[in-house]
Amino acid sequence: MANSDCNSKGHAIPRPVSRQSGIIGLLLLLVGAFFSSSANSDELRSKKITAGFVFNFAKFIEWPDLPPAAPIQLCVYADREMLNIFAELSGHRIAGHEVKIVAFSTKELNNCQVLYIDRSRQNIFQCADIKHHARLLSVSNIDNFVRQCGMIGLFEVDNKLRFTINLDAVKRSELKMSSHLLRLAHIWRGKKQ
Amino acid sequence: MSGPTCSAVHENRPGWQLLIAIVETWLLAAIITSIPCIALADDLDIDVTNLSLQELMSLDLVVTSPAKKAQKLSDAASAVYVLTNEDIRRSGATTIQDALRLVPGVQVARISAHKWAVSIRGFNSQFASKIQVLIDGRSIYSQLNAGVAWDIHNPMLEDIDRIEVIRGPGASLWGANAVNGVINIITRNANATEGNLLVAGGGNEDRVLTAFRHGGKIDEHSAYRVYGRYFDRAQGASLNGGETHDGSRGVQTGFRTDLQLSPRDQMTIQGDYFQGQEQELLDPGFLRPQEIHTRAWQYNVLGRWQHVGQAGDELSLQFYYNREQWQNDRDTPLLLNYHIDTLDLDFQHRFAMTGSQELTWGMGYKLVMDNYSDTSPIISLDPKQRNIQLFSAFLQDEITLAPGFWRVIVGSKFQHNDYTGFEFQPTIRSIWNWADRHVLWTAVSRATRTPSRVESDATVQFSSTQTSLRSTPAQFTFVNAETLRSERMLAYELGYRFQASSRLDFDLAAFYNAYDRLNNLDDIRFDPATKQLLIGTTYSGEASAWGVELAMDWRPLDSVSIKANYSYLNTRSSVLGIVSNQDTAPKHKAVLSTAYQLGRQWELDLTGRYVSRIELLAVGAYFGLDARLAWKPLDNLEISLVGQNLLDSSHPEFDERTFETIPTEIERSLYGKFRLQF
Repeated sequence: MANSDCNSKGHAIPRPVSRQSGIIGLLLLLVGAFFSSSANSDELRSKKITAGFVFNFAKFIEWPDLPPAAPIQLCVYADREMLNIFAELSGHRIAGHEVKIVAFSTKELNNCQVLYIDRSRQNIFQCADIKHHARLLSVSNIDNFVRQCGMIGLFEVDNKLRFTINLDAVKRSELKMSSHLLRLAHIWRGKKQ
Repeated sequence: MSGPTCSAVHENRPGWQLLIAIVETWLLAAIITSIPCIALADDLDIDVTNLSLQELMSLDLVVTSPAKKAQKLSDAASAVYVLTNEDIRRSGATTIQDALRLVPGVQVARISAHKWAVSIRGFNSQFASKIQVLIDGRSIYSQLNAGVAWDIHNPMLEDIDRIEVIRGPGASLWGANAVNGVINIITRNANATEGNLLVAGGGNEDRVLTAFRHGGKIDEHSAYRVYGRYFDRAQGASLNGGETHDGSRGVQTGFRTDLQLSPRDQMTIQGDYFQGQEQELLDPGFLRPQEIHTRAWQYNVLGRWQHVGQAGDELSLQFYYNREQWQNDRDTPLLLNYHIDTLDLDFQHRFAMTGSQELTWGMGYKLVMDNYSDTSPIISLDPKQRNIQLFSAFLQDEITLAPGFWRVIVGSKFQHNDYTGFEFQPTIRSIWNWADRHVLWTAVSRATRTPSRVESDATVQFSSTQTSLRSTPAQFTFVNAETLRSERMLAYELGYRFQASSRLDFDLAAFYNAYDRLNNLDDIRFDPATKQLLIGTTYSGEASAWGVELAMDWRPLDSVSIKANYSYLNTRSSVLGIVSNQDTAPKHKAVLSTAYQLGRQWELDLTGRYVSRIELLAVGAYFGLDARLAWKPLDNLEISLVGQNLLDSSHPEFDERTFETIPTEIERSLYGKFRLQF
């Protein structure tokens, strides 16, 4: 009985050897390691694109009295992974200024040219922290960031990143913003009178 | 008891044990070496510091688009699987079809060296009629014989951005024939393919693999690319010894330009030209087998304009022209000489109607003009020249019932074609994000497949040796049906997606499809005048299919990625025709792919596949193992060695003789390749 059973199987599958060895092979392929954490590729991609936006914004801004040799300090308030992504921008140059990435702290804020606050930190962030820094470009993907106090708010439309500029906040500041940037932006003109 | 008896059979193949031992050692080495190395395989190979703001604005945050728009994978209310450029590169596949073997729910079988059968959720055939296939929005589904001639579509694999496979009816958006699913091949934006890329290689089966692309900037935000590729494929192994003579070779060139007309307007213009030669041995059953040489041409040009409005609404207008041409080298060819021209115009608009409703609607027109210059002893068409028109419109409303929690999608496609008139294909879908990282979706849809030109106008001579009635030789004349109908399907789908951690995803889909009015060759009559057996089509076939597809994507380490999927399919036909492609897919299919990054310079990829027996075609089950080892001595240079179907010297994958193609076996393939960017 056992024999005929085996034969019929062998007949059904022309290459009987491949079956068993194949299973062993496949099981072996599964042998991996049990480690976890960090982000998946989609998250990583959208974070990288976000960082690219922030980097690009800086190209369209003129800071008053910024000495030619001084770095552009980009202060980042985000999770570890986002910080690492920003860290890769470090050393690149914008209009001759070296880009320096600094993890955010309120003490450092006076030395920051750009501040990026990630949505993941919105519970800790307060508008009061940035309100009196007239030479700080503030960027965030927090909902309603520009309505609260921010200058540039990032948001998603159809799986693409877009941004809103708070024109009032820009006018109140001492920064000069290129019209090219304004053309690409959605404009927020502050509360309606 | 049967265990030891069986393994005794196995032991007389010592080569096996050796191979397994090699694979074992390889894997263990890979795992061990990968643990200490934190070489980040960067899955986003764009340097954001080099991209302009406009370019960044054009990038998809998440790279998937199941509903004719970009959407996050976890938001899709359908069974979607995406092969990325990286997946394709690391699979070692040399054709799109071979890459599709990795996708759950998709059946890929190579019939001969240059003929493929590709289907989704069953009904596989060289003329698999129930799927829709698009390259950059251009349908490559042939209205002639209701199928896809995969051999004449050869875009450069290196420039494919992704292949999205939607299992289940996509009819409400993609039109007729998207019954069991849609395969959407999307090439890269020209802005992402700057510079030169040279690929060259070859091996025993893929004898020559070469491709070259040059991409450049037109202005700051507009770019172009041109490419060319040449391939030469060896013949397959004969099923019963002897030569098969089914080699092929071809050259394809093309271009794509992406122009940024304004920050809100984009224009794409692209085109391809293919010319190829194929050899094959045809056996009509009632004539002596003949070796024939066929030349094929395929060329197309496509233009697409996309506009994004102030409120984020999107307009798109697309036009394309496509020609397919086949020519035999004989005076009285067994196969037809013909050409088909297709003109297609599509318009689509998507906008937010209210805060919670998003509306997508569109209209399309297609004109298919064919011309058959010859008749063959096997097949003839009457009339020889015909124009077929297709009008379509669709409307889809996506309603957010509870923000972030529950959405419902209601829509339908309305179509009018010259064969069967008006068709209505509605769908209703619902998706719940019932917990963080958990998504549940369900859908009920109706889809139809419109008749092909062959069904409408062909007379075909064939022998019973080409059908499932192989044992009783007879010659038949196929005559087309008097009244044409559309095949119908009602589909019930259920899916669940779960992200266990940021490195582990699960995707589960189940379906039940009920088909009726299936095209069936079951109306057998004897014609005393010609003393011939006539066989006619009726649209009386009924079938049901149910199945489950499971997929797992696990990235245990930055340097290790493991993808596994399993598909179960159970098809039942209540009426079986003499020529039936209703139960021609394997019940079980499993794929396990592992990708290892070994230090900075080495990559190792191993893919194991199991495909169970196809009962109706008497094709045995098989295991396949593909391996790829790549060395990157420089950032811009990659040298790779690929082995496909390593576990046996050759095996058959499909045995279909509905037309005259003689199936051949698929052989073990080895090739080497280098890829240089400059």
